[in-house]
Amino acid sequence: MKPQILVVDDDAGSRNALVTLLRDEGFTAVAVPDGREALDYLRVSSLPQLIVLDLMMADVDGWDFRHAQKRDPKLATIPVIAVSAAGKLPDADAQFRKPLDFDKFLEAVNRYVRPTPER
Amino acid sequence: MRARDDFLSIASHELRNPLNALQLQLTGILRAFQRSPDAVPLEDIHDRVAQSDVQVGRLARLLDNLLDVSRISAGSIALEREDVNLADLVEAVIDQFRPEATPGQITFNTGHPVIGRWDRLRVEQIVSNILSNAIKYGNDRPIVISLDDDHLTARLSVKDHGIGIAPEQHERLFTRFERGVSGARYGGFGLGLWITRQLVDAMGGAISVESQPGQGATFSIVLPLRGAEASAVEVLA
Repeated sequence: MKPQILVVDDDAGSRNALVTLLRDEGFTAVAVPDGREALDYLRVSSLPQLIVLDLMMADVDGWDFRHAQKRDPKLATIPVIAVSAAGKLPDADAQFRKPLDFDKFLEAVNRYVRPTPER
Repeated sequence: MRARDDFLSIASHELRNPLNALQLQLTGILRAFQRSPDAVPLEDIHDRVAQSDVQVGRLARLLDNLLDVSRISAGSIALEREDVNLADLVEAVIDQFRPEATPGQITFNTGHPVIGRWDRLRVEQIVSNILSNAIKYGNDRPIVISLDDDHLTARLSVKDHGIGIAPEQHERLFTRFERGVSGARYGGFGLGLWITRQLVDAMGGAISVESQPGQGATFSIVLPLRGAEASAVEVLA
């Protein structure tokens, strides 16, 4: 099934828990552990409707990813929700601090993507 | 002071990640019960509780390390020696870390019990800190743990195949608030190896590292099988 949400987070505990929660809420979600893998994924897979982005990551971090995303016309318009333990992404469409307030986060997610009807 | 400021920022980051994962797991359980109180799959609950337990373990290790900084600085860590089978202890630590490692990532080579007079909890902490680093910086590649002994000492080595460390960084690794890599890119307080060295020194042992960038790292620890036995409880000076 075509993924609606791409979760990018190098903390495996946070990444896996968030993907499970989003799937429980009826979304299709996939996850990758850093910005480089996110860019690789986006270049070969069908595009998600939303990216949930951690900022402090090894290799290509959230800021580097956002920079590369905005330079690529195919990817630039995908909305980004930043979720991080520290730091801010000034041009994110929404911003959340860990530990995540999931209700408020879900409201933000619902602004960009709706759960798949069959779930 | 700069290193200390960086430390406070990293401390906040490090504590928030396991806290976030823990909160998301608990939120998942609560929402499952809200959706269908009578039909929550037990297997799902078990998985989420198990994952929560892993995160609590991460938080506990981070807090232990934070507390040890002041304890070690004040010279108030007591060593309580007892007979410890290091082979069993290493197996137990590996089991704790399996959920954080990739399947089959960790191999342990030992053929026999290695018994010495050590502080069990502190040796667990030493092995945990080294293995935790190997997983964090190991790029999901194999980690090989070897244990051997002669009549006087036990020798434990943990070899990863990850990002490696430049030789000029090796000594700094064991300094408080220092790390071989950028704090923004890799988590950690920059305390684990400093604490590890303090504990190894206190038990009369030695720790060393061999590594090159891109070629992984091998941390080796030598512990005397029988340390100073003047008293059952020693205090770090």
